[in-house]
Amino acid sequence: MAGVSIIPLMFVVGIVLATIGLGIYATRLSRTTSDFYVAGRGVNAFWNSSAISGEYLSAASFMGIAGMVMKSGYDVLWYAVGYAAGYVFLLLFIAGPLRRFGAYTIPDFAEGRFDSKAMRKLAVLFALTISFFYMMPQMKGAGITLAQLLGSPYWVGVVVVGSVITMNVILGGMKGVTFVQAMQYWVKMFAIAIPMFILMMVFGPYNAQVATGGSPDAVPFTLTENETFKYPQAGEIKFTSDGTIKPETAVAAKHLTYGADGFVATKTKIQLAAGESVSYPKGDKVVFATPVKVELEAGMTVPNFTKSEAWLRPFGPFTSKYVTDAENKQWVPLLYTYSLVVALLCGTAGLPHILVRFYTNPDGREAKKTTLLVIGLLSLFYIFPAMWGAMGRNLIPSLYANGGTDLVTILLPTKLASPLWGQILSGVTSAGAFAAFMTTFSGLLVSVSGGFAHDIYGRMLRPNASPESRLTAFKIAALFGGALAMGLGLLVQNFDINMLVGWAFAIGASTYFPLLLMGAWWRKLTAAGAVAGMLGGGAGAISSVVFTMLVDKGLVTPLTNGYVNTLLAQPAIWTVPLALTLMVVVSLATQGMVPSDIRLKMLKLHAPETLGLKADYIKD
Amino acid sequence: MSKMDLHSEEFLGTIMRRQLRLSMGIASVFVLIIVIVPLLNKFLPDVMNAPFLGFTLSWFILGFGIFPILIALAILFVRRSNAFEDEAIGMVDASTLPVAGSADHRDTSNTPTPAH
Repeated sequence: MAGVSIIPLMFVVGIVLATIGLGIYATRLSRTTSDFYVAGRGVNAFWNSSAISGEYLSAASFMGIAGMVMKSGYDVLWYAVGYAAGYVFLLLFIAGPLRRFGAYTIPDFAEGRFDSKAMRKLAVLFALTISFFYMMPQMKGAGITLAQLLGSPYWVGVVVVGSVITMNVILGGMKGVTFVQAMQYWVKMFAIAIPMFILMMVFGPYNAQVATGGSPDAVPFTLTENETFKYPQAGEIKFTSDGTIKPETAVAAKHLTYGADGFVATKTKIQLAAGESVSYPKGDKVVFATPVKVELEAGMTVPNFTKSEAWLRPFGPFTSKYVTDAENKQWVPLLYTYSLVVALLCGTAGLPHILVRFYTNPDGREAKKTTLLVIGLLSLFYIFPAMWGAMGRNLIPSLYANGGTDLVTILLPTKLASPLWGQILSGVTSAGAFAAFMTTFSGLLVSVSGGFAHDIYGRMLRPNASPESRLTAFKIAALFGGALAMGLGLLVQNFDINMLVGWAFAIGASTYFPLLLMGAWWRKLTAAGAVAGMLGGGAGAISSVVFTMLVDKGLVTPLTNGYVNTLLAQPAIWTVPLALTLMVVVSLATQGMVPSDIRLKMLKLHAPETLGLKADYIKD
Repeated sequence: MSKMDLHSEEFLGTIMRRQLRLSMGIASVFVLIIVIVPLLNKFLPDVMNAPFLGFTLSWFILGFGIFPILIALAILFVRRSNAFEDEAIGMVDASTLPVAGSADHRDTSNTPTPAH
């Protein structure tokens, strides 16, 4: 694993340089503030939908789903479905009205709909929160991929990718980004599809891979020689055969044994000495308290390998994570599945960097057409990640050993018999992965910086600021936003990319989605109701997610109830209804706050633009 | 049917009701599909785990089958929604529209400063 992979690295450098080059080229085309934020307004549906898809397909889609399908199997397919299907909700309830209203950002919508400055502040706050949650997994993807290619430490990837994109955003703004994003959808589509077709010709088609991976004869791969793996903090070894491990340095750990029913029987704290071999029987689990390198002895099978039936069938290890006994095994996985689905379906409509793009459509009709095309483009893409996961399970099971499955799209091509072709195809997928971090990260950074320059600086701090000083504010905000994102990215090395993105969705689903849905369709919604709903839903989702992260880091004692833990790890199923209920109840109690021109506002949201009601929000 | 004033309660109520009915109709088909798959997985495991084209039936549904349905629902919505927009334009009494030739006239009433 050590050493530099030259060919993939060349591909990565190529895609990074192309991105910077396009950014610089685009600078010459973007002169006005409006250009900088939203690329003028004349982007057609095809380019706009490519750009939305390009921006949307993040590290989670390109690497995360494949890695988690490999690790946990069937249940993870819901991510692929949910990421695409979220746009259906957006199309049905939000895309048209939002574009017709002429609001550029959600804070614009929030303030314009309620005539309330407080709403703008709250909306900005949530935009920043969601964006930073979503930036963390992009940073993780960049860190582990570059670590793989260069043999460099994790932080190098985070800092390199973070700096390059921050610079690009500062130089080119959104015009560059629109252009680059659209092109990068096609880069990613090509990068995930073409190598997979070649791999399937060599190793067998998707259905054969799923059948092999799920067949009861699928046995974990046996290590033929001693092999050393790096384990992160809270990294674990679940023994799939009797085996012996030898940590390189002294480490504290927990040792878990399991009863015949498959549930935890005993849990003891242990201390492993440096260089000392320890043997454990099949079925036991060791969890390390701190990062450590561990040598696994030849003859044992690869640890953490998911059993075939659990992998192939619904309600496997992913949704059963918090099952503690035979009773809650009945319902916890079902609850987990539904809550995940709610987060993904409602969360797409709550992503600030995606919503901002609807403004680049000339009108509501075009916004709907764009959304429709996005659903098509994403559906096409989301068939592929699971193929990588299924094939990875059969071809590179060693990734199970230390939870490295997020790298499956990068490493799978190296299993080809020809090392040259293996390196070239690995280069293609690495370039695709970099396209994924770069596009999503730059979209988020534009959204964060735009939120600062347009909403905080331009509307709250200095409403009379000149376009030039707003542009300067945008650039300074981008610099600080990029630095903060890199800092946060360093903290999340041992979280699944997909989990992190799922959490950003849960927060969006509990805040923005109810605001937009109710704001567009229920005229009795008041600012007080909207604030109560967003705060209630947002606080519920954020505290649940943060609690779960702290538990995973071993900083907080976990709760014991399986239902409660599931509702904390996937909170959308209760936080979305909570937000909606608070909005209704509080609004009904504060009807005096309904803006006096609410009928005109609703008319703008719903009447066809040809009737001449449209008034665009940005005028310079 | 007589033409409606653009700014009338009647017109707003009509378009919102019709739009919401369309969106809710398609959303309910969509939600039904999404809700029913896990239930079938739970209560009819033998059917959903049966081999199907080399996958299990359930894997095939989430891996392929559901995407064309999403696209079909989206196409249906966009067509119906646009058709309704055309219909809505015809419902309005033309004399109540903003003055012709002022298409570029920027209505400032939705700028968020109520301080005038």
